[in-house]
Amino acid sequence: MTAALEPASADELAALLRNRPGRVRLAGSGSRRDRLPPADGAVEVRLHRLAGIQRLDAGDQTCSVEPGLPRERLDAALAEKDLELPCPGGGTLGGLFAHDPLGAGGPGNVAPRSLLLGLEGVLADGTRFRSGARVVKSVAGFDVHKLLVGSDGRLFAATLLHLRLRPRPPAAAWFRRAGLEVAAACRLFQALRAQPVPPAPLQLRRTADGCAVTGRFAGRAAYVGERLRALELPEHTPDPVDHLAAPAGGEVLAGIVLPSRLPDLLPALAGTFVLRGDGRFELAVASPAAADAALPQLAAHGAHARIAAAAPARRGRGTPLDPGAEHLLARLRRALDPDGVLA
Amino acid sequence: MLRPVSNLERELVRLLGAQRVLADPDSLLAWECDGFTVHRSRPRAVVQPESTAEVQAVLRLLHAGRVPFVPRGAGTCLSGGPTAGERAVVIDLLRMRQVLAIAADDLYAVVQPGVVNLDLTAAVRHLGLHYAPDPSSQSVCTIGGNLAENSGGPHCLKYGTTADHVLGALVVLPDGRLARLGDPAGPRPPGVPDLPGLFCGSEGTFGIATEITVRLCRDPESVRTLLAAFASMRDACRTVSDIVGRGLVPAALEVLDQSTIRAVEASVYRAGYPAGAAAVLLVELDGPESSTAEELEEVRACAAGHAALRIELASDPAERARLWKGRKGAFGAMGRLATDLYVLDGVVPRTRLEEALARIAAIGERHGVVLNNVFHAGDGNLHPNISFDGRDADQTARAMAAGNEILQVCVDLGGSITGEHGVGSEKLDHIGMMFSPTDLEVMARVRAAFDPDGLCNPGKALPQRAACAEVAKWPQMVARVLGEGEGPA
Amino acid sequence: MACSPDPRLDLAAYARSLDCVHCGLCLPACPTWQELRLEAESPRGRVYLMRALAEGRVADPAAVRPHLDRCLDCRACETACPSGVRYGELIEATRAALERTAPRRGAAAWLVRTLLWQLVARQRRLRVAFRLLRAAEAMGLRWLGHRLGLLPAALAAAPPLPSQRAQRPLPRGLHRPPAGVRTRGVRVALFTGCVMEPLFGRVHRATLQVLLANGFEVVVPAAQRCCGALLVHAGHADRARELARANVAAFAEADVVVDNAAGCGCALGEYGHLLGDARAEAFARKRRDVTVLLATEGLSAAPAPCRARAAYDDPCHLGHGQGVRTAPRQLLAQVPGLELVPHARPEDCCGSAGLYHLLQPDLAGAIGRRKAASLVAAGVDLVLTGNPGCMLQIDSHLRAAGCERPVRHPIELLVPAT
Repeated sequence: MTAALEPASADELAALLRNRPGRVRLAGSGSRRDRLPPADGAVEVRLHRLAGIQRLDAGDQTCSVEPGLPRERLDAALAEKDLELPCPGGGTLGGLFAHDPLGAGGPGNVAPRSLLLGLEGVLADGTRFRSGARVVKSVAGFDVHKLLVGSDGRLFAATLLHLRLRPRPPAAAWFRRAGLEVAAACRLFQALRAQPVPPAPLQLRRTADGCAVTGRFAGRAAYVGERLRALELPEHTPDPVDHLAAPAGGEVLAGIVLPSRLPDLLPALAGTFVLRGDGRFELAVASPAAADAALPQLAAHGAHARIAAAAPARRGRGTPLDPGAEHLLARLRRALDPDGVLA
Repeated sequence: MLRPVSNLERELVRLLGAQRVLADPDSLLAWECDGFTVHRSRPRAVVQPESTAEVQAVLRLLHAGRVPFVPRGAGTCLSGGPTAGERAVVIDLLRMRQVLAIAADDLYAVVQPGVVNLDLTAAVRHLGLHYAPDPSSQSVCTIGGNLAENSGGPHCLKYGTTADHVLGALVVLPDGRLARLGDPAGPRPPGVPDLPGLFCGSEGTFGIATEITVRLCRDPESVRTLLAAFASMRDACRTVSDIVGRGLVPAALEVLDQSTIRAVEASVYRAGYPAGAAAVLLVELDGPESSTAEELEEVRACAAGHAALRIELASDPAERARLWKGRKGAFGAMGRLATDLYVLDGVVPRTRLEEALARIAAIGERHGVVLNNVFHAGDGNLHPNISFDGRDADQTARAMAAGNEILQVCVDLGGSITGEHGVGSEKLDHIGMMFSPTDLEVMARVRAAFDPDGLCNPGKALPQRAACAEVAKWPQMVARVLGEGEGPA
Repeated sequence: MACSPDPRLDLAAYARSLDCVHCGLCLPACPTWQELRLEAESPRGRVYLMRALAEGRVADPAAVRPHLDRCLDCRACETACPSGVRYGELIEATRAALERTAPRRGAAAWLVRTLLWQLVARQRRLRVAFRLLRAAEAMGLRWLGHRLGLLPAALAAAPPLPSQRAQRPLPRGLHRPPAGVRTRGVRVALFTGCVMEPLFGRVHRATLQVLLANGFEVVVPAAQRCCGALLVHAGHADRARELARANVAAFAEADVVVDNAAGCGCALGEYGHLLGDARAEAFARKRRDVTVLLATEGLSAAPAPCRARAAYDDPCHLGHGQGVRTAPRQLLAQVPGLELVPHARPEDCCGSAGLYHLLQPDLAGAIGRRKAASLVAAGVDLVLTGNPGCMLQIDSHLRAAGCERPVRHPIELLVPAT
């Protein structure tokens, strides 16, 4: 990859793209760089200088932020107003929506698509456009902005994100139950998912030491305390894991799986495993061969996965995609980026 | 290019049998419009497929003949979404009404598009589960239609709209090809953007979903419904702001104004709303028993702080159903005021409700139209309803002009022209208030990725380019309806 | 393309159709929509088609007539309609207009005319006809005719008649409470209708018995005739008016008119609309269903005990048509030993709907099966409903489902122990 370009505004980004810089790899802070398939010969365009909070309407519980804004800075600004962005994930806001950890809504997890109310963006040819709205509810126009979620920055660049916020819960408590067998951990995980107000975040982790279930109950203080007591969950310091690190010489697979398949699936897979309440998982395996062996196992249990962290050439391999969805995705790429600029 | 009608008909009958193909022009009148009756147009035929394979076969046939088509559910859309152009075939999905799978442990269900929203909840009730999005028409509208429109409803304040509950869909693309978007495990397999999210709200222009995977929610431990009546709309709006400002997230926050209350109370949906009140606020809190009890006191304090005339708490499920009955029947009850109803669906930031309502009232007065407001206050989603007599050209024109100005006010305040009803054919002239031609062009490109031939519900959701002869523009439509629809002298 | 508006279509009915704002809340209430899932087979679709007819937008009225014919006239849509569309008036006026402008031909039309004009409206002929039918049934002629394909589909599908010896009609004239019963000093006139008497004479006897035991004086006017409901439903409003006038005259002396068949009661209640004069309106105001009378006045004679799990099914013309839902349930709750069990959708039509089950046998059968299934699922051993057609239809579909259960009129359970 050649040297990075760092536009300081949406205008600069648009101008830069209109100048046809060749193939472009969009990035935020660059924290997920080693989780994407290689983009040989592409110019890295980093959006970290587009880092402003353009608008924070505490009464309406919405805000508009630039894609390069680091999550911590938004969280700090929201905390002052007793608000929060109710989803996990770090890095820049743009990266958070464009890349991995988000995607699925699930019990206790707001779907990121519903937090992203709209955006302003730039197509690969420098065309500026808007989609969605700033208010919490709008169905005007097609929701092009939802294509940002999980796009890996390969469909267009966002220059302003309109986000939905939530009031901070009056009380919250983290818990962790460790040293569980797979079956017991799965039962607890499912029971927590099926709570009328499930913990968010919620994670099941399997390491060499056995299984642990960890999460956070939020709400009124009385309720939080009562739930922990009723479910006999010990309080614990927060320790959610966004991503697993690949062991030396090993790889990380990421994907989605139905929690009910875990009791059968998990014993068949070697390596550290993390599953979140929304069905998204990561699996760290010791070697490429182990990753190759895990993929068919996962597919057999209805899971979808691909190799996320690995040697560049192996990233992006995974369980087969639905041919129809693949066909559509290719057409969408051609529609929005006909020259294949975004790598 | 067009095949003769009889040939097409014969082919459709060959695919589905004579029972499920309607082509008699007089009977087809019944499919002329949806809940937005200003735009009417008789389809070329109506077909009722019963399986994915049948939908594929029909779409392949229509695609080969370049015949446009329009998917349709229960026809409760309020923006003309399923109203077919004269050459179009209606793909009526009401016979695809099976709940295909219920996974209580993984909290999802797979349904055919013609399953009625409330029937899905009825099918999972014994498991302590429900399907959360609840449009007012939920007793009749279908999940397929909800998906197409990204429908909302009172409880979307806390639980989100349809898009938040759709995990995946098996879609027949307009050329008959199949695409599986999302998965029961999540809407987004790794490496694929949020295609179900994009499909949701595409107003039937991207293809036909024949299997829809939706999230199921656990029933809350307790539900408390409170009615507060106010002497002014201002007090009701300020109470809403206070509730939201305190960090409470009620399941629903709904407001009805005085004339809506009167219409509802005159109907079979009468709910015992106080007739003298200028506004009624319905607040529903759900969640753990102890939490709703505390929140209820806070809400009560908010309402009392703004001089509520009366605060009434539903004491049992029957009482709660009664309080909601009036809200859910409000739209239909407007039929008591005039022959036609123009339901608007603008959204403003929640902090601007009071201002928006004042400006809307002024617009109504200036145009001399009968105007009511019933709205999802918690979302800032307004439903100004204009009652008029569609047989009177002047009344119709004034209703439309007032509607136009109201939507402009919503956009000026930083909001949207539609929160949950869709653009359909109704708001084609208004979408330019929110989006530039370039924005719309980008959207058109996305649509073309699904439907390069422009056969799937053409003329909806996005204005077609001026060159296209099929553009259904408002004034002409209104004129046509008036010309055709004059009653007996 | 559009023909000119038909000036004979009822303009008042047309105006009522404008109340419909096309919201669609009536669709799930409609049994034919539930079954066929077609807009043209829904109340909203039918209102739209009727409006189009009135506006002259329908090129060939015969094309939309089948959709209107498939309406059961059960009025469930009126209960669901927030806009207050009076659907029943609308469909009856439209049917009448169609019958005037384009009288129906063919076997079904012959059947309707024969049954309605020759039999139903003429009490004595009707009794003879039922006697013949019963005899034929006893000799197995129906089975034979069915096997040989001699019976029209409509008749083959008709429910079997209750096996009951032909009953003498209820004695006309005045009946006084038996000795020992304290009279209330209220005299009511009993409407006996046409088919109830030959089919379920026991219901009339029970009605008389209950009223007398509860201290009412009962007069059964001799000059009364069929209510005309079936004629109105079939679009023969003129013939119905003749009957209505006769009944208004026959009951002129009465202060309170009591009826026990939901369909008749509903029609009697609409005489004001049918005849459009003050006498008819006064008549309509003074009539009520027998369960309403008893629930309002209160039972003074305790009903005989009856140990059973029973379901009460709302006849359409009582629930939707007259808005009477609580009175029968309230009375039945006073029957010692009777347990009222809820079943799914008690307000849905059973598919009987006057002559409907003869004219639309397939659809009526499907709707009847649905009703039987909901009753079977509730696990009841007795079914209660207050209309002769419903009693026949439910009985026949319970038998077909292999779950024969007694089907009774609620009044039969209110008879005191002797």
